[in-house]
Amino acid sequence: MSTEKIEVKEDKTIKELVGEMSLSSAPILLELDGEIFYPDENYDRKIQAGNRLTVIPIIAGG
Amino acid sequence: MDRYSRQVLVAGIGRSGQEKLLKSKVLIIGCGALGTVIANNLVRAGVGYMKVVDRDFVELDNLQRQMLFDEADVEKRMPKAIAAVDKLRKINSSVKIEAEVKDVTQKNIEELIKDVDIVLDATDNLEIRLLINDTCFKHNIPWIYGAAISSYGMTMNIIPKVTACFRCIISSLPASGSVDTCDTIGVLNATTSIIASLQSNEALKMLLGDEDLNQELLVINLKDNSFYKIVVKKRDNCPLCGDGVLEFLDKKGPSEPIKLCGREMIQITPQRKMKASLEHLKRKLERVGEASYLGYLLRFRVEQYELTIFPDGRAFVKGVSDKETARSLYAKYIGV
Repeated sequence: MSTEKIEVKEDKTIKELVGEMSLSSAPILLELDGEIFYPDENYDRKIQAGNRLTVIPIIAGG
Repeated sequence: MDRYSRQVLVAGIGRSGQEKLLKSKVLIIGCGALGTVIANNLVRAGVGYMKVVDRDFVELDNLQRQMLFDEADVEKRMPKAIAAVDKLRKINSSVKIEAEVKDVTQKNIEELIKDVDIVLDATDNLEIRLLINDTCFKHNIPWIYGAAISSYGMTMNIIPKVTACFRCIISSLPASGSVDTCDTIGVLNATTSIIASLQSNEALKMLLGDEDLNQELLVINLKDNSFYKIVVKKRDNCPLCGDGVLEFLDKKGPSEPIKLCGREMIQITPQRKMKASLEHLKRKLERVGEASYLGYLLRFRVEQYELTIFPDGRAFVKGVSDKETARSLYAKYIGV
């Protein structure tokens, strides 16, 4: 478990990327170029090839 | 004041800061890996009043990271809140400390947070955090989220109407089984200790009125020793920050059985408090299985199952993986 950096290989929407990562039901935040955003508010947003997206899992253990 | 002399010397605290701490009131929800470290730190730092709430009892595999417990607590199956408070009182007898052995629910949380200055989250699931989030928002009490699994941890100060809230981060509960737990990927005691220490430190800063509070989600990973901060903005359509909808606090209906983090164990909470005493229940159950009354709770073994029953009627059913079997064992032996 950790944050994960993903290099986007081809233009994709956030929805497509999240679906591919099998993360659609786990809570995550995404970071792109220093900007944090909520995936479910940005499903239609396009990420261009070559960008590096950071996935930040939100956790529950304690 | 002598016992706090090294803390009083720290810039920004001084005697007046220590006096503020001595008048402060904190609530710690959960007394496991995070909660024991937070409680230890804050009692030693000299908060005035502390309430520790936990639903569980001490088991052997807790000792790796739950710093206030020992083998004698395991042997006696001590409720965590009581075992912790016994130790904390020996550490600093001038702090008023109360233990509450209960499951925090929408029915009791408002009573629990009444009159406290700050709430520290040391829980182990997302649903309870959404409940804390709603309740603290309603009563305008700051709370500090903390979580850790494996070598990964995070914490964030949540100040109602000021910062993003937990509902901004998690708009709805994820599907069951989609979130990793200490049961599935383990946890290091360094991760929980660091996160809990960061939470304790932020709590002290809040209680002191320090304006230099952490405003971000702080994420750590001990695998590569990374610490970084992420600015979390309020969600545009957050039902709580935007419309004040208290979905988790206002939820009606009976409590669902809960699978406990880290063990093959399910918690059953009856709709009404149990009226019979545990001693009475023991006499009834020892006719059909092995029952022992341990002072704070009753242990009952039958077939391959083990039930641990608390005075309020709540029970942990061990040896089952599905909620239906747990519920039917509860109905069969304790009654509904």
